[in-house]
Amino acid sequence: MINPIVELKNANIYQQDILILHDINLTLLPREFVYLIGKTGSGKSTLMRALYGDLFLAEGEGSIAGFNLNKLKKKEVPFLRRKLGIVFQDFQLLMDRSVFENLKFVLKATGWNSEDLILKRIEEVLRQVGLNTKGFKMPFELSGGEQQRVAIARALLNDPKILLADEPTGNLDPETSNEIIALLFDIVESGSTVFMATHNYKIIEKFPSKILKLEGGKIHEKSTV
Amino acid sequence: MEQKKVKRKRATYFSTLLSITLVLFLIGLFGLLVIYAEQLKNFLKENLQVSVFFIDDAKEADILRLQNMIDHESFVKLTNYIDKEEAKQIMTIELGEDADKLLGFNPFPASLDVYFNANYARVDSVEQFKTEMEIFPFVKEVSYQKVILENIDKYVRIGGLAILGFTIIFFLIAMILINNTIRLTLYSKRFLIKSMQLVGGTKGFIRRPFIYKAVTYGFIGGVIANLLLAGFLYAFSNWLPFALSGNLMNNFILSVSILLVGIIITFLSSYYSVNKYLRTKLDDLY
Repeated sequence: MINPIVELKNANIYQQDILILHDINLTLLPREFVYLIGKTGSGKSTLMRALYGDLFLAEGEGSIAGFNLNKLKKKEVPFLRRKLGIVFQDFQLLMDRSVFENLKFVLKATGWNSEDLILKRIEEVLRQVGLNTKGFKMPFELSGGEQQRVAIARALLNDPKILLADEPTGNLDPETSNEIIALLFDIVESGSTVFMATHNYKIIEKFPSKILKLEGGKIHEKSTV
Repeated sequence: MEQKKVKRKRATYFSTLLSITLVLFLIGLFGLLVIYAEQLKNFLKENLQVSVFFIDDAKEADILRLQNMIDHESFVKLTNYIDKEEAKQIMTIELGEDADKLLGFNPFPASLDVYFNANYARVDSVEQFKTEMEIFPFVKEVSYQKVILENIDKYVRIGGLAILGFTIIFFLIAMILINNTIRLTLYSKRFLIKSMQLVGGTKGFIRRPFIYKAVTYGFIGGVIANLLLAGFLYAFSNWLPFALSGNLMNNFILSVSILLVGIIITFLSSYYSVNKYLRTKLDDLY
């Protein structure tokens, strides 16, 4: 039997004291690419935040990458995030340092000490996302698509079991968006699961895969957009 | 664009450093006032002149014998004999007129200026000295500024308390100012802090470079403030000769305190500010 990477059972998710999502049942398996769709305000980002430990699971059961979300303590959140790759719509890069230093920060924060190994790993992920010549650049010197590639490279640094992408193409033009999604599909091929919240139905048509829809605070499986 | 960013970074660095330095310098100034209040009091007391005037017929040998006797007293710091001729010259300079020419004789008596050690420069001691001097037949009069001597202690004590009060108030204001400077600097980094958190940095790991930077500001600010204070003391050493003499230990303690205040305040403010942003939810940062 294959162990799921993410499993939520009858989960209720609150933001402050307001119930946003209820009775959420979700299972994500290894090497799956799953879209999460839904109207603005339907709770896509809320679900993502619960998965990466920014919102705590008050009711129901849940686990991700071996972490029990019900028993997750605040001090364990950084360690959960090191097992995940997270990609945001607004990239969330560290704008005060170069691409190389952005990636180095994550490796240093996750316990890498050897400068040689750090350099080697950064070169690997930058090559993987097609930015092997841009390590010295500052984030603001890159295009939106390149910045998102850096964010993906950063997410890949610690070989995450799952990559959570919250509207990763939201700020990108269609052509660049296609390149980013193709890159995410390559990542699935190499063994990770990708769970991606999006509004971009054209992309879903072009890169079909499993779709989950959030509606009325609940999650529904859809066969097509 | 990069150049602009570097310039902006430099401007932020200098304005933060300048604020911290000035605040620490002002704390140091008040500290100096507290340290030197006692020395200032002694300085004023030891510069209070008690003048023993002699009758015109007094023999210089008697006066010099008296001076020699007074010089050997433990309460005396210094004596200075001014004969009639010297007195006339001094007064001619001060008045702009030669009294000898004006009156046809020199009306100024010879005198012995006596300066007391600070511990003995009290009204009762001086009064006793005055009584003892007036026994000598060739002493005409002993005079000193009694009112000033009576009030030096009182005014220095009141001034010292006022300075101490101001120092405490100013210290609190300084803490608030430095705290605000650091908090403002870190406010501009709040999204950076949150991004670091989102990619898996632990609180300690994220805090470390911010605290290190803030403490560096505090340390450098403290060093510059100390240099400014040393320059200040040096510049005023002509007016206040005691400024550079003695009290090295107190000056050392003040210097170390300024450094510690700079380091501790910047450490605490950066620690609590970064923690605040680490606790804040992403939505609440906007």
